[in-house]
Amino acid sequence: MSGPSEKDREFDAYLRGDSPLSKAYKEDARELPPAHVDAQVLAEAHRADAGRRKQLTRNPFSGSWMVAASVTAVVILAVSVAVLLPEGRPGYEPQRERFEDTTPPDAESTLTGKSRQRASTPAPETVYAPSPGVMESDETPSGAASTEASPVVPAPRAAPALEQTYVLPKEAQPSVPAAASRPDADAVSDSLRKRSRAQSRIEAAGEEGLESRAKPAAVSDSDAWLERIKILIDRDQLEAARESLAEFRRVYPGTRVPQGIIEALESD
Amino acid sequence: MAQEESDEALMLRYRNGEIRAFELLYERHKGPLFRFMLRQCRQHAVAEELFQDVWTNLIRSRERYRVRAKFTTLLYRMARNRLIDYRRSASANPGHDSAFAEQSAETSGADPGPQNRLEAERAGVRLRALIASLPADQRDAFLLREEGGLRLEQIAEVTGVGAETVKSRLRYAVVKLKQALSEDP
Repeated sequence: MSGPSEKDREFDAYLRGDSPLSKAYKEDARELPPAHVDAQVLAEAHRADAGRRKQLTRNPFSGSWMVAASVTAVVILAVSVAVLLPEGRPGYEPQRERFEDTTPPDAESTLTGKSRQRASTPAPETVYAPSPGVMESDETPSGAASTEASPVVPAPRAAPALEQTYVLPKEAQPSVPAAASRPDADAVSDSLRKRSRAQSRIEAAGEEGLESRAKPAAVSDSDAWLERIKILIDRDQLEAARESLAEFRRVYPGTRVPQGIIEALESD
Repeated sequence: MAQEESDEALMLRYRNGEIRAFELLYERHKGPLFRFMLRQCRQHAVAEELFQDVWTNLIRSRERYRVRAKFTTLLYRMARNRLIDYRRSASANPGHDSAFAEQSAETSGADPGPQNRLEAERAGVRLRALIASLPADQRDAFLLREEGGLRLEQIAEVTGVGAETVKSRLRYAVVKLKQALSEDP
């Protein structure tokens, strides 16, 4: 009975730190790590601290630089888009609207041909040459227009391509057609040839006082022409519409004319 | 003044970039931790390597340091984990080091060997040899208590066992050592 209690007392004394065993151990425990180990550990600590400081000094700069660059890029992009896309601006009047406003007198004078031509609204001096992208598809109608004398031609507005693009006077037209963007050199030269042929036709027509003849060359497709005829019908210019329709049928013999136009023009 | 500062405060300062705080911390704990490692693996070269690894791990994980427990609990847990890894790798490759073989002998309570007996004539050496002959769990508890200065609950936290288990292990270790010292002049 006295054994365990003695051991317990000794153990309690040990736990309190009041034990000969602990003293004996501590007296002998003097080993220390070698100096080179100390140096390595402290060097590691210094290295880690230096790396941290380097990060702290570099990160704020690089972070703000990246943010500033990103913001600048976004602002430049936004401004560029806003400037280059005029439809986005308030109060913008598309080019096609201007055409609609200005073409009726011109078209009227051209379509009626003679007496109804107004001296006060002379035809614009600018010859509305076809845009480069329109040229290839216009080969047939322009060719027909140049060989067959008919005064009825669609107004410049009739070309959808013109509605979509800014039309330049022929002297200010771009020297390279849209086809030039293709990598195929043959296609580019072919397009240039076509363009030059059409240009010469337009000029020839202008010299003969037949500016109106050149205008069909600006027609990009039959739909635009038919649209123009509809406008003439709406304006009660039936005679001009009939002449235009006849011309249309000569140029596009295989194209179906909408029933509404036929009824409006041929019912009388 | 700095010597009076707690380990936790020093570690926090070091975490915030004060290298001087680490130097104080290292100075305070390098001896006990090194002896803890040395008594556990009993090979100077291995003890140095493991000791250095523990401090390196502490340095690398300093930014994650939070005061959740006593600093020494964290330090000795890292040390013990490193020892376990070392023993595991030594057991996977028995020829790797003789420390594990020694460890096995100690755990089974075998005689430290004739060479240790000769050295044991000196009191300190003898005590160390007796400590080395303790089973690993008891030696762990004794060294954590003596070198780390940990209380029973802290030893329990480091070793992952209950406080009563630690108390029992420590009690066995103390009784054995006292008995051996009194029997073997």
